[in-house]
Amino acid sequence: MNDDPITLCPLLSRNVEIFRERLGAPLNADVIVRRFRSGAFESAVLAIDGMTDSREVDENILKPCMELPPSAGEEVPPCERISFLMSHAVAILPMKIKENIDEILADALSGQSVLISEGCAVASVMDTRGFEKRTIGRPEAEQVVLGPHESFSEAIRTNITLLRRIVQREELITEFVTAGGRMKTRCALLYLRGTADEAMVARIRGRLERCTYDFALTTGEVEQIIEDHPYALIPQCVHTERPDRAASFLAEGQIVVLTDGSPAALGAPATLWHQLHTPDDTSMRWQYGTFLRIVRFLGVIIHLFLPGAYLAVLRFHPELLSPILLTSVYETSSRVPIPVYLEALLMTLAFDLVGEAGLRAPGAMGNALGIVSGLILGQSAVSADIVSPLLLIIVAASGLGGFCVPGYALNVGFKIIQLLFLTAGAFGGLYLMALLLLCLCCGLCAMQSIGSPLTAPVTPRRAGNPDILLRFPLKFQKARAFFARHRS
Amino acid sequence: MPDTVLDARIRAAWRARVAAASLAVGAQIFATGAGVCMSISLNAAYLSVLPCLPLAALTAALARWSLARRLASTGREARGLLSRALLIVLALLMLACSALLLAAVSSLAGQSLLSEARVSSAVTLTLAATVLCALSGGTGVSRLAYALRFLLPLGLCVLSLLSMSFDSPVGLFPLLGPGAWQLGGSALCALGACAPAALLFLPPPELEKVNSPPDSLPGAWFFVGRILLGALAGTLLLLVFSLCNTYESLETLSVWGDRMHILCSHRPREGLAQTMLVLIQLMCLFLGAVCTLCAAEHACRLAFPALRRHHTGLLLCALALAAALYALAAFGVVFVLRAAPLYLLPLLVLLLLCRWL
Repeated sequence: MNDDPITLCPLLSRNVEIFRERLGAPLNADVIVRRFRSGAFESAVLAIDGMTDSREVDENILKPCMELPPSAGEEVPPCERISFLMSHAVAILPMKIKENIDEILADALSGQSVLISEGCAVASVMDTRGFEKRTIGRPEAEQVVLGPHESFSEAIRTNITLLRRIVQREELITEFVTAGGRMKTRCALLYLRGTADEAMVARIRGRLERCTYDFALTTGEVEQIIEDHPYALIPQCVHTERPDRAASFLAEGQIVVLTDGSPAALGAPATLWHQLHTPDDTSMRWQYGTFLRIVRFLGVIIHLFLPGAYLAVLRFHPELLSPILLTSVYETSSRVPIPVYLEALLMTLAFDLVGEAGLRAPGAMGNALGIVSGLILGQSAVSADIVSPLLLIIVAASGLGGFCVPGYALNVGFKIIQLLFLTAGAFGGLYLMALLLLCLCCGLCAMQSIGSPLTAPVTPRRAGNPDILLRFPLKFQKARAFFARHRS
Repeated sequence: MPDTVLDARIRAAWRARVAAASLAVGAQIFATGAGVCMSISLNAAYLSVLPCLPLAALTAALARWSLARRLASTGREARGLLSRALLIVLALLMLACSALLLAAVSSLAGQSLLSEARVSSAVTLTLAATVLCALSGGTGVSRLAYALRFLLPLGLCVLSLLSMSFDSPVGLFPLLGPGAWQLGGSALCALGACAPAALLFLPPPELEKVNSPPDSLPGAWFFVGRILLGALAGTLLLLVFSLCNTYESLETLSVWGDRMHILCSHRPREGLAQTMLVLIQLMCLFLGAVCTLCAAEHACRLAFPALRRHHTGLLLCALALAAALYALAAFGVVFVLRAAPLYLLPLLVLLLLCRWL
């Protein structure tokens, strides 16, 4: 491997031989190498079957080159033959001149076509990608009532186009970076020059380029490469399937990272509040957006604290309940044979199991599964005195609160935190829950997202729009996010 | 051209730092302000801590003046024996404050919310939680203190109002009656309660590597005003508890504020209000303890740079704190409270030496 040449040589046969050897042809049936006469010299096209648009290669590369008169290019120096072909024959718009063999092969494997000529030690790499891809659909996990219904797809170029359609500004920059060692994945960093902080762009770029993993195929893996706190329960980047939301990230001064093969975008740096807001908050009038946000925050609080608080009150602070309620709780609990902590844990885990099974079960079965599990299992468990009815209500209410969490990643993080509070409430009452809350809050306040504080602009205080819990009218939203370079 | 982004960052860090100091001062005054003379001052305990207010303000002003003069050097490693001695004294002072506050937290928790648990369980839980919070450094707890700067006082205010009764103002103003001298003595003993204000001598950890010019510091009135507000909050809470119906002086508890434990009464939902009030008290005291522990660890790291690795400084401070807590639990806090007026003396002496040399 160390003896492999790094750059092309002027000999066409040698270059073709290198390409065949590296790609495993003729054993690898996907490799296409086509030699032909282009005017006064020989040339060859390298492509991967199925990845390129063969019609485009035929019409715009092979045919024009082969139709050149026999004397065409006689007086052109050998090192300029590729330039000659590109300016006189080939009719493809996106192209680059390269000489590094590794880069050329990586481009060929991504669906681009490579043109080489006799006597020329450079190649022309042309974008002729034509593989099958999914059409633009509706977002699966970020559905809104008002607002657009387009979502990203797996093709990175399509996703970039979706963003450019919304953000039609000359400052919008698209940088391509590859992540991964042996299996490189193409990522795109999009940002508004002059608005995004260049230091943050450089940080993300550097982390992706220095990635030592063999491969990073999905947006989630790319997120794990660029995040600051890999052991934290709260994600530090915000995922979105929606181009309109990604465009709002760009306008705020964030950097959007797209991954080829993943129908989602990452927005970084992100704050905790970005992850708790939804596009509906902004699409609707401020009164409705504020109301929905308050409901969502209440849902999060119920999801995190209700089961633990119930156990804490029952075991350590029964004096907080009214005597009638306390009597009712003890009456129902006395028939349940298992300790209340185990009961709560089992019910919470059962709820999460139903959710996971509903996700994995195919098609209509997934919908039916939730109804069957919820009604039949829950009712049966209460009738069999395995769980108390009040605990069932508590867990169901907590689960509903969990569904209010906008992001799936944050939802899972909150589920883990809910279990921690459940355990704390069972073993230490409200005191241990309070200690745990303070520990988590201290950790959260110290966390960063690409060097930017996660809990800003609340703490540390940064000037920002009145848009955290209450969404004020648009006329009061005058400033960009605090991490943007130009804030007006 | 002034860097507005850096300026905003520096001001935000200092705001958080001052909020943390303010919280710690208020908590310390509430918990240990009346010192050993609690049994004498009783309802007038709030009067005995009044001299802490100007002293806390003076400490804050001194810290601001000191920082403005030595800003470029305080964030770096200590140079010279005098600087190192100053940092060590500061670290010990903060550890003492943290130990007292944690003793208050664990004893109040043990008497109220965890009444059936052992003392050692409450102490261990509290210490473990303190160290966990301190792992994120002084940055996390300072920012949290800043975020809660309105919520905690508001919660205390509302819940205190729900628990107050104006039926028993006896002994609130003993100045014209017997006990005035004892009250004065108690006031002297309370002077050490404003020691947490000294953590303002240390710059915020997130600004250690930043060259912040003196102009970026918030004004002296900001420092003094916020510290005074925190001290006032602790004082007023002592007053409010004197008016709560009813309280009991529990001899077994170690620090004053905890002894004003509100007992249940027949008013509806009062159990909930009282439990929430105890919880918020605990949170304030706990955050104050974490702030002072983080300041102690920061001072140790500045004095001995080798302690930066693998949280060694925090580990050492946590061990010292654990030893202090268990000693306080075993022997009581009387001897510590008796020395309270002397807490600030070594610091003052060293500061004068620094200024003079």
